[in-house]
Amino acid sequence: MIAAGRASQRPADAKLLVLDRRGRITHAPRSRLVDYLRTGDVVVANDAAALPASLRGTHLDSGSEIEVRLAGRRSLALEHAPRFTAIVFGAGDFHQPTEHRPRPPLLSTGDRVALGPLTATIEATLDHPRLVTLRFDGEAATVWAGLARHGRPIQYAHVPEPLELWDVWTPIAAVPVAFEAPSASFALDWEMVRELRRRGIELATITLAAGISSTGDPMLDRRLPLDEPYRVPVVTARAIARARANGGRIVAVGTTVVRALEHASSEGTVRAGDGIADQRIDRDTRLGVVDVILSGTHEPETSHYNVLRAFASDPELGRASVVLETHGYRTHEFGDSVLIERRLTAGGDQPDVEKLEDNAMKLNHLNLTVTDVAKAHGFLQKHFGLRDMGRSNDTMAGLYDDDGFALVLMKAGRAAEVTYPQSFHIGFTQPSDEKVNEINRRLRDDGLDVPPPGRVHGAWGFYFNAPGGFVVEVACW
Amino acid sequence: MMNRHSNPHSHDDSTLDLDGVRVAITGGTSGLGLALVRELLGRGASVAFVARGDDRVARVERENPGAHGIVGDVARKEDIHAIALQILGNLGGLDVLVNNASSLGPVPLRLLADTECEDFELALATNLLGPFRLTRALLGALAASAREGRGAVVLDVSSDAAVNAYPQWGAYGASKAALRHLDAVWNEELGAEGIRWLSIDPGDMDTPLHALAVPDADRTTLKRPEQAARELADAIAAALPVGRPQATLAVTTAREEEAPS
Repeated sequence: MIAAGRASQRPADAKLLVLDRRGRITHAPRSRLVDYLRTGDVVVANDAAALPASLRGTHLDSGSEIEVRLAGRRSLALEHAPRFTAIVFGAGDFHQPTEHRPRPPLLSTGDRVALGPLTATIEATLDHPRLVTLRFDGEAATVWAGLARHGRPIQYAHVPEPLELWDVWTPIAAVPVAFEAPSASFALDWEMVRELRRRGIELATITLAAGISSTGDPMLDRRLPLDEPYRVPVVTARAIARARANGGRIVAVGTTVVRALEHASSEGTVRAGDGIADQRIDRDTRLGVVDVILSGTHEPETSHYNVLRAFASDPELGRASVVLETHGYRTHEFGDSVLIERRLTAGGDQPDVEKLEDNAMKLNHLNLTVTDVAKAHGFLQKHFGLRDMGRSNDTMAGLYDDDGFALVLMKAGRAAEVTYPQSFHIGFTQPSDEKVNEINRRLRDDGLDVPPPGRVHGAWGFYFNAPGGFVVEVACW
Repeated sequence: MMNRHSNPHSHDDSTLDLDGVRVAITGGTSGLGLALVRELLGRGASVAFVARGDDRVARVERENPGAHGIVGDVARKEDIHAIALQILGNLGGLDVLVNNASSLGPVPLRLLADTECEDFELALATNLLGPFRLTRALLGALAASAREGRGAVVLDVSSDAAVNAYPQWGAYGASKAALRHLDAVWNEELGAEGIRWLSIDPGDMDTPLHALAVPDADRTTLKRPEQAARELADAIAAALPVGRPQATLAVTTAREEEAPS
């Protein structure tokens, strides 16, 4: 995937890939996230604010230039600001990829460092030449003032411009305890918060001191995420209990929220209060609380990606990764997002819905005669997300929609023309007028002759002649 | 809690105390701001204050034990997040923000026609953009406080110059009028999140700002800033929910392990 290199939290064209519990994939503008949530759901976000946790300075015992990245803490208690777990780099800065950064000088317990207006002692080395416990001199207030003056947000080479705190504080940032931004919350804005409220979807928060996502050192990266202290407010625990009792889903904004809520839960109940999340979330995790995750797009092999494996199967995630790649999604903290619903599991906790649907009678197959099988086949995949059934050829091709509806396209014998009666068409009903407009725009951009959307029989939509010789309706009723 | 009994309200009307309420005040080293620092400390609040001069900040901090002094200039965009970081770090969150720091614009006051653009810009930066930026930076914390039932208040110090057209008060008056309007819109937009915006004119007070504006004023006719501070503190207390839970973040029970020495 392309790295998002501009520090813009909510670019107008931010995209959202939705992978639902049956493995179906849909795309949406990320600003329409709320369309994929339901009344009664609870959205839980991490309200930690990112610290200016990158500090340049000098290792006084060797005189070497260093960069210290604060990376962990024992508790959320803010008066304990003086002591941190930290990762030390040699000279240079974020412009150089972390894996190419020079090592720091040999660090020993008792060594002194000067970081701008701050001074500190290395209290302990933590089984790795770059991982230490650092204790700042002075009171908490002195450390806050020093961090505010000298610290910079931790950043990586894919964003070339230096980041400011306002680039990395999410709109809901409340407690300055994170070492990197809980960036899934970049997707939220206050308009969205208002819309959630209007739709009866509650917004709740936890605070988790999100640690750093990458060190560039394979040994250290394997130890990520480090232990992270968190707090679940009483109101959040209650909101979750209410939603679960009423059949609402728990939607975690970001991997840090999953970690905190799953750590704080037992048998589906989330405990309010403080804790230290020390577990890993991966393919083997049986999620007890969280039903849906909103996350950035992550490359396989990262600890963030591993969290997604608790929600969807590897083949599903693999397919999603291919789609992200082919649809030009951007990755990293300022990139696009995915919304992944926890998969249905055999004997899982939501089998009833499946069963109901198995018994329901449904129209699920249509055979359409077309002038050009390949063209119609490609067109329906590209613009309406239908999936290739496989084994297609010039005279016959099959497609599935997200519900398993089978649409088969067949060549019209020897006739070059297909003539359907005038009123014949197939349709794709859309959830919103905007979606109709968006599809219309995309079709036009692709050079198709499509009339603009308008009012048709009380709906907002349009009809057009699709490649292959049949009429398609796109409308929101 | 210090000076509890020096406050006439605190022992006879407990609804007006501000026990454990986390308040940040800009322009906290003189005039109304300083009086507010003292008043709020007296009512049991946790207080952080912001001002430009390090010496004055250090002195006010020394004279008012428990208050957290922060050096910064709200008129400077670059200072806003550094200020917000220190407010949240020192208080562990925020329930009340008082945007009090103000600039008159040109001193001595001048007719609009004689006002330099740069002086007008300074009034706007201090009185309008500064409060907007700082409020925005702290909005997440205020909303968190509101969600937890502690309430959240932004008090923007206004002026009668925000509603009346006084000759020579154009830059100041226009900036304060805009701030007042901003408060009205904030309330419309985010009132549902439980955050309240108050725009209060404390009246003509005997403060350094007033002395700059009207050097030959008869000081005996002016309101004491202490009196105005009491009124503002009452307004804040009245806007917060009754029976609010205490904040827990700053003084959490989680214990940090002592490192081996």
